[in-house]
Amino acid sequence: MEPLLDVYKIKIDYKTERGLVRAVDEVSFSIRSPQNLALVGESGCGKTTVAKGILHLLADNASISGGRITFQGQRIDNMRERDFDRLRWCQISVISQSAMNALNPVYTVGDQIVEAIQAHERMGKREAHSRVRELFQWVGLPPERVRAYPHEFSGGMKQRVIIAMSLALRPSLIIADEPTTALDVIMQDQILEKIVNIQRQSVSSMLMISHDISVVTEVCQHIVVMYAGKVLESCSIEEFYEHPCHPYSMGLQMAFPTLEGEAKRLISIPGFPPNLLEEISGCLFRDRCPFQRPICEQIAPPDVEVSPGHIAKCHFAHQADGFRLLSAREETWEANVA
Amino acid sequence: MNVLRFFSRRLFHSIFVFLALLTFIFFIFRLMPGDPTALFISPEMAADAIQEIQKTFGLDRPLYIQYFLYVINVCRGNFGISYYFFEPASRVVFEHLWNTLVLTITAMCLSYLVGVLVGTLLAWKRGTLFELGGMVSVLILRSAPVFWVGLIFLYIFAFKLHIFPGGSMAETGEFYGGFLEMVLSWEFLHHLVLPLVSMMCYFSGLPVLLTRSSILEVIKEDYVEMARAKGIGARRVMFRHVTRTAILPVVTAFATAIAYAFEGSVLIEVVFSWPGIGRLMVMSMLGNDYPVAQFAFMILAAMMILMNLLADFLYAYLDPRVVVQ
Amino acid sequence: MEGNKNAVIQTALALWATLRLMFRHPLAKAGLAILIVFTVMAVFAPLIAPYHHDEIISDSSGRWLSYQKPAAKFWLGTTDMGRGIFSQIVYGARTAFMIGLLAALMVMVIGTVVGLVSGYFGGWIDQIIMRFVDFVYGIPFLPFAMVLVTVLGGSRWNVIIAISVLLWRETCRVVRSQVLSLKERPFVEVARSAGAGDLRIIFVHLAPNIYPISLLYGVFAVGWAILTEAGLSFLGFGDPNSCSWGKMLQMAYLSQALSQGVWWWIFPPGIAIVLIVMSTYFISQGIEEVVNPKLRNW
Repeated sequence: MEPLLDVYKIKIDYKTERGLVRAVDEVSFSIRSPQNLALVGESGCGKTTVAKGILHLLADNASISGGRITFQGQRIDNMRERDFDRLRWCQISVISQSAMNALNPVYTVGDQIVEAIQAHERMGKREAHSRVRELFQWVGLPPERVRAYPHEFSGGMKQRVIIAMSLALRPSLIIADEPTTALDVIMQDQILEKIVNIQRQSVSSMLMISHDISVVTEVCQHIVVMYAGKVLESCSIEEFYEHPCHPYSMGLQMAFPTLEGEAKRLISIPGFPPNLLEEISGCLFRDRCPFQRPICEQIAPPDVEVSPGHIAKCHFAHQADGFRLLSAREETWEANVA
Repeated sequence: MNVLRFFSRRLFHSIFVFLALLTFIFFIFRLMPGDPTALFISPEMAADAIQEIQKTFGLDRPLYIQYFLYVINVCRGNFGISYYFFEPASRVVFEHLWNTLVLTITAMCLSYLVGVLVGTLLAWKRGTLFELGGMVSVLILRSAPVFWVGLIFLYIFAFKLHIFPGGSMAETGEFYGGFLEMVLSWEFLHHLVLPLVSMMCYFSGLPVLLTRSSILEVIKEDYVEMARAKGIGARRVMFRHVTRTAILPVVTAFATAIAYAFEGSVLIEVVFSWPGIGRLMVMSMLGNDYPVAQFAFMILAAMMILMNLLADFLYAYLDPRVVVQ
Repeated sequence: MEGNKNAVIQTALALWATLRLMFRHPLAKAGLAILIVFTVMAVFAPLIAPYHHDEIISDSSGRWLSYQKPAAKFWLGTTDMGRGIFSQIVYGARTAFMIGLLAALMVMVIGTVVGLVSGYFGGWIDQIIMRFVDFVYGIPFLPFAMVLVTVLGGSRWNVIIAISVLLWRETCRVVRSQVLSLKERPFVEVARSAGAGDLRIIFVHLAPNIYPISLLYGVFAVGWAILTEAGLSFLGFGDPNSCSWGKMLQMAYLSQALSQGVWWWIFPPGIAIVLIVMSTYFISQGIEEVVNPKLRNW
């Protein structure tokens, strides 16, 4: 069965005053319905850029300079705007990061959702509005609020509106960009639960983008770890937790708390992501990697298939077991403070 | 009913400001050089007329009584007799007011229409030489005194090329039948062109700049990106989401600009001898026709307040968030 | 006290950095160049202008050399009374600068102070001041200036007063809204909890964020003041003794220069006004990019 979304060696460049920046470098992953894929990484690693690339929402100074993106067998990265518009929302919808500002303040929320519906389906206003009320119930919002303006909602409620809107046309793919980042922990939990429930009911896949791996664990079956525009590791969620093969993945796990297992101190990976304007040879992660060897500076690491469906971009992917034991200890990371 | 409360509050506020202005006008005109009674009485008047006026305005009574009578007379629309026209000042002023309104409102509507279109165009062509050229041109136009532009147009098109008349609203000796007939006659339009275009040159500048910067700001908003993501089509995104919000400041500027336009029309009316309230005010100030000057001033002030009020209402209608405050 | 001195030095440095940033913009550079030309004209007027602005030029037999077209002898020709137009333009620069700069300064000071006080203290102080500002907004600008000049008499100072007395309202409104949005920012709270008094917060913490926009409107005010003065003089409400470009246009208009085709009297004063006001707008573009970095493009 062909994948729903296939991203193949996508390269995205930004034109800046100081030169060309490769924000996304040969990123590949695919999503098979009905599974969900998580795209994780630190801020600025390029994950949002990938999403924008898929959605034709890149800024004026950004462009796709290589690779291809296929959706339901069709190539979409070079599709004409008019044709892509037809796919938008009814096949691919978005839950954006900043729900605060994603709604136009001068229109009611109901009108904005109806607008999306009527752009793709022949439906009268009344029918569209009743669909909106139904959606509101799905996400746990009072149906009367359909006539309200965005500024009359709280942050959590606005996020639910956005989620409701994204489901309006039962799309095959939902791209959720940091859907819970702006919310407090309790809200986060509620929203995630809603998302999981709704997903079970509708047959859609989700591409979830987050910097918080504990959030995506609940929802996604596959995970792609990005760093400085490259994919460092790509595997199933179980593999990620049980057999991570890239030092960065191991570090990420140390940095986020889990409810199970013994209580341990959180370790953050010291250092900062590299400046993409500068030429860096070899592995981009090496400065922050506790297992750095001379080869890491000389040769860029290849994509190593550790097991079917599990790829890690590291010279020592096959020796990951040893690294894993070491990475569980705080001293390993703290000793690496350059 | 937030909305109703908002409107009534604004209305009362404006009335209050207007009353303050009335008082202000009362006192400031008293400071004119010469005898305060000269505000209402000209030595050329007949004796009984002088008596009448003295009584109505209480010119021999103490100041606070004069003020009280003043307010009453304003309510009645009684502002004394014009020295120059020998008619009630109110009638003189209102006759001239219509001429100003025709010129000013037409000029502002056209200016803003053209301005919004050009501003949108400049925003589309962001970063090109076209935009730079457009901006510089607009700045140059805004730097030119509106009356000088009028002089230039007069010189070129009226006196050198003889395409348009050299001023005033009609040929000398001609009169128009009624207001509607006047407005729809070719001759009137012929006379209207030069003063209209002169005003437009200056007043189009602001909407161009405002529209452009407003669009550039709004287009970066997250909800515009969301609108694009919904696949509703580029044109719809532009008109329903970008322009709708971007035009807010322009619309409010329009309402207040009409108020300022009245003042600008003072200069244009003088250059083109257009019989409007602005020119009337200048002539009456220079000719010491104080009843008319006072009333003209008052009407202009009332216009400003009215326009500011309308601007507030318009803004509240267009942006629901305002009413909540 | 050490902190206060530090703050002053910081503000001065910030000001200098802002100025340098301002003039990076190509338009701002052009505006500055034009302004410098006019400044030289104004300062060295007696040296540059071949004649005094009132001087009637006559030929050997004592006849007035009126209506001379521009030639080598008279760069911009003469008026109906035989006065040198080029000389008048040069001297006119003095009036333009004097009125423009002084009025703009008053506007900036009054507007900023009122806006700061109103915005910062809020409450009933703000209410009263804003009512007053609404009242000021209801006064028609040009007619009021006309009335004021009539009441006070026609002199340059009265013209400046007439202009400033109303023009500050724009600056005030803008400064106030800026203060209102800044007031809620964390750094103000931090300063307050550290024990800073109101005056200190206003002058040390808020002022550096306010002065760019204050300066912007001050620069605008120069242009507006010059345009208003031109209008007032044209209508006959200026200073009868001074030489201003507006007055030149009034004289031209009154002596039927239009119908007589005396273009060399009509064009130059207007062009001079356009250039000098334009230069202020150009400079303001430079400031605007400091105030609003989003606009930076070229």
